[in-house]
Amino acid sequence: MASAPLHSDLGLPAEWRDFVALTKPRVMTLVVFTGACGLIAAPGALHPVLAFTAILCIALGAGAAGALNQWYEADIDALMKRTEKRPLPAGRMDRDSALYFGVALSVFSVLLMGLATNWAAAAGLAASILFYVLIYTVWLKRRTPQNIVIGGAAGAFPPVIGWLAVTGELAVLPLLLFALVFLWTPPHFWALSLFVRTDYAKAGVPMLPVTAGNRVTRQQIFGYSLVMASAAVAPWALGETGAIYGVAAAALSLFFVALAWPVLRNTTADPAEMAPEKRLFKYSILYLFLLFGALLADRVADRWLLA
Amino acid sequence: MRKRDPLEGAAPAPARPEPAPRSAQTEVRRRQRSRSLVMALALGAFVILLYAITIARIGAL
Repeated sequence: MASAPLHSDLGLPAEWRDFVALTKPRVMTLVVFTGACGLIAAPGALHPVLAFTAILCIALGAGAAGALNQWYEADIDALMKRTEKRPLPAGRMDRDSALYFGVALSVFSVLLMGLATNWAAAAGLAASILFYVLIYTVWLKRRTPQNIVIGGAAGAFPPVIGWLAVTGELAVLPLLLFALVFLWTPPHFWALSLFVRTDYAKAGVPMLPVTAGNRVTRQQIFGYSLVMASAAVAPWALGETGAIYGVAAAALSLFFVALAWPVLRNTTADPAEMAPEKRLFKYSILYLFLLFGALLADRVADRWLLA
Repeated sequence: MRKRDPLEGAAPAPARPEPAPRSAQTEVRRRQRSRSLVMALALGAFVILLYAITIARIGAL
């Protein structure tokens, strides 16, 4: 944890916009989308108000986890270009405000989820927040280059929570979606960490390029891309989804692997020459959106045919 | 010449905090106002949401 407490400039109260920034809104969009897809893909129906509340709770829970992550990592965020403008390292907010905001939002989102839908979904939401904050942020991130591999589980919870909100119980498909996001996380983050390697090294975060070098990281990215591609088509192969999802998953994953290949072949250590890595990182975000979008389309088409 | 009080200085009056410059005070007020407004809107939305959840759950029974 940070040794030196950070204080806000001039003792001014933080702006409400800084509390919004604390929730990492850009990360939240992907979390909300995968959560909503899990909810819509689940069998059965949920009242629109309750479905909206479930998605809202997933968003608030993700925001709370983001706030607690920024509270804990304020010291290393201040050392990295990518994160130095966040409210805490930039001195626009004091650390206690971030902590209280994160804890309050966590408790609120879990209780509201339990009251609006069911306590299995609330337990899933609580588990995802605790996993992200305690397992990833506090325990793994500063200790092991496997931080992002194990920590990736935190980001894989939303489709499961969305499913639980409707059904109240687990099934094969949400677990396959969990596995997909879990296996997508390492190539996504390692592609990023290759071109911001110096930032991580300066902050002392043991990301794979810092501890094992760029070559090993590129090999790992390609290896994980292959495994992730298999996980992406698994729901179709196991008969859990229809052909719309299957064809989309195969095509999108093939393109993912095609973009991971030049990353494997690249040997440069200069971030300016890391166009393949930057391309893969950008596509990896689009990939998850399109894949879950295909799942949605598949489910809608399935219901339309049944009607 | 005025005779010096032996107790003078023993219990100094509490130091008054220096008043913040006018522009800083205005900024504090502005931030407090905008935070209060956002909080009020959030609470209002929460009340409406809670009402809608109640109606939805009653309807499901």
